[in-house]
Amino acid sequence: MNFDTLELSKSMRRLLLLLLILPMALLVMGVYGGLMQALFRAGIVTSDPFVGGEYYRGLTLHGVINALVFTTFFAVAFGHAVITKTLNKALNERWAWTSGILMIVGTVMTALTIFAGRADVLYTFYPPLQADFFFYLGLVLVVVGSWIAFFTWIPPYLEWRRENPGTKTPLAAVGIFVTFIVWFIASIAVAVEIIVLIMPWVLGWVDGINAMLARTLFWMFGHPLVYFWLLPVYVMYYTMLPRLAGGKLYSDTAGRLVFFMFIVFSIPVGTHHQLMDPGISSEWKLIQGFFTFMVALPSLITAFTLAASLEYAGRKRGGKGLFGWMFKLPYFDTSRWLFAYFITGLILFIFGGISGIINASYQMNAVVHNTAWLPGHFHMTVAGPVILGMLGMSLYMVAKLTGKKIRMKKMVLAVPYVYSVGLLMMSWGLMRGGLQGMPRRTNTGLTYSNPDSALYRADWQLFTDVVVVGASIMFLAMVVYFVAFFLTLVYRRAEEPSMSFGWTESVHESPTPVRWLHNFRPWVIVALVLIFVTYAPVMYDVTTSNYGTSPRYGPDSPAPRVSPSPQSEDLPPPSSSDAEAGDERAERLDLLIE
Amino acid sequence: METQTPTDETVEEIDDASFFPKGALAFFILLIVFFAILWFSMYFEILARQ
Ligand code: HEM
Ligand SMILES: [Cu+2]
Repeated sequence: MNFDTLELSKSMRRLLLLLLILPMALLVMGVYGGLMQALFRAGIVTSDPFVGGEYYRGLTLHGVINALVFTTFFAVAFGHAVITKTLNKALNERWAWTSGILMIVGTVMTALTIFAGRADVLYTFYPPLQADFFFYLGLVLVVVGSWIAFFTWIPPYLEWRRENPGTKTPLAAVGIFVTFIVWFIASIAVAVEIIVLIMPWVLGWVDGINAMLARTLFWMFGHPLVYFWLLPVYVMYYTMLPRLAGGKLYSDTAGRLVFFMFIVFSIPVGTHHQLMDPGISSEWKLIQGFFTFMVALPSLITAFTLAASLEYAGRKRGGKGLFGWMFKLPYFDTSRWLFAYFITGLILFIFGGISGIINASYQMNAVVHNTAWLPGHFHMTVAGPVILGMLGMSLYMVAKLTGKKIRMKKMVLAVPYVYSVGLLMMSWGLMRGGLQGMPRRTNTGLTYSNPDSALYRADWQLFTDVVVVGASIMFLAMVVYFVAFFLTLVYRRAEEPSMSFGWTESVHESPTPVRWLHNFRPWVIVALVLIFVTYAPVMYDVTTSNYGTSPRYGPDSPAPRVSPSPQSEDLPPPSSSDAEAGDERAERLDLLIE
Repeated sequence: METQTPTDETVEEIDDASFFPKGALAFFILLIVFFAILWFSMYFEILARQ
């Protein structure tokens, strides 16, 4: 399958480097924010000057940079490279750059509002919490930029199809297109949320917002978002990992089936994030819960297919018996350091996957909902396989795109293992604490982990401490990674830059396309029908419920904001001695209570 | 670089047509059993909490 003969142009290489390096620099701050979160929660730090002393500002930064910005930039850069290489076609550079610039401008805009303290709304920005207008505008630009990137891949693909009738679309290209089809459909929901509901409300054109409708639109986007994170990494697992391991992909057809299943099942599941929300009838929550189990299927197929591919590699390397192959894989081979980033992600995903299935089980969700269990779970997905795959591939691509030699290779190889140990500790602490009721998104350092507080919970202390140790280990591993990444960049180039991926062959592969796995369209149609069937009643519920609309709130006060400006000036802090303002606040609170 | 140059010493040639992933199958079954154990332990946890 060595079709990638076309080199990326110099301008495309530059664009890709920009898209990989800029978010990596931001990730340094994002990861620092993660460590701070753990230290805040344990009461070890009480103020982080870097984010104006604010716990929620740090948490917003952490979620937005790590989960929204870094992942989206990576997916676009990786997509550009995979599409160019698999189809052997150059992309429209002007549009590719337009997309990249929009994303960068949007990111800068959003980041500035967070740093300026005008957007302490967390990465889910649930109304009625209100951020600065430019926080939302920045996010819209990032999303629109990523759409444009996707659109630049469509004409060359259609051309490729015309030129290669009866040839299968390369699996990696299928994966990238599926990633962005899911992303495009899903982000329409969040675009509607932001442009139709939030922006007019933030600008003061309307006074109230239907918070439940906004949340529903957010999660219609928010769940597929997790597949947008995961699918590029699945592309690596299917098309690169088997060869790195020294073998072949067990089944190319299984890979195609898996990707197409994600088009269908990624989206009609969003209300599993709203199982405890009022205003949506339980039948529909249950049905979307059921589809969540369906969307676990492609991941189970993946678990088997990848295990079979690794078994093939392990046997070839002399592994005997039922499990001997597991011990023959190149875990510590520096010339295949990328393998370590993939295999650790896969192992973590075993735990991330089962905890996700528990979350989606309606009744069990009541036990874990909004507890620390949740960040415990999703760090083993998004901060596990997703980030490890993306870190590994970013370094690989940056080295290829610049023609530089990777520095500190042994350390680079050790990073994913050390990081994973830290992650398992942190997630264990968060999850066990969560089962005892320890809340997420809470600066527990002030209360539950503060021995001087009446709320102190001595029984949670162990969990909080383990979180601190785990988070510190993760942080150290990441620091080593960042040093290696930027050191690689500053050295002189060692060879001509040349982007290439080592594509895998397959054990089982039909030479001609399997008809029902050849076209995207039928799968997209089924997906749209399913989204309509599962979401129409939910939308009906949230738009007809009679809880009314909500005014604008800031994180600084329990009373609504008077002016649409998100600045805290319109309300003095509670400790203010200004009696008049205090009266005004009390009045407004009275109004609220009525 | 890296992934471009497979430096495998093939210890055993594998016939693709007859390759059957029995280890992967066993692994998969164990995985499902493991998932079931965790899931049911959570389930009984809820029952215990009423
Ligand atoms: C050194 C690495 C990391 C550490 C120590 C860390 C630590 C934490 C902690 C302790 C929380 C929970 C805060 C709370 O609920 O009170 C958290 C939340 C979160 N983390 Fe991380 N994290 C790390 C890396 C990542 C990465 C790589 C991602 C994504 C790619 C990520 C995504 C998130 C998200 C989305 C949240 C939830 C934010 C929210 O509730 O609004 N984290 N992190
Ligand atoms: Cu979800």
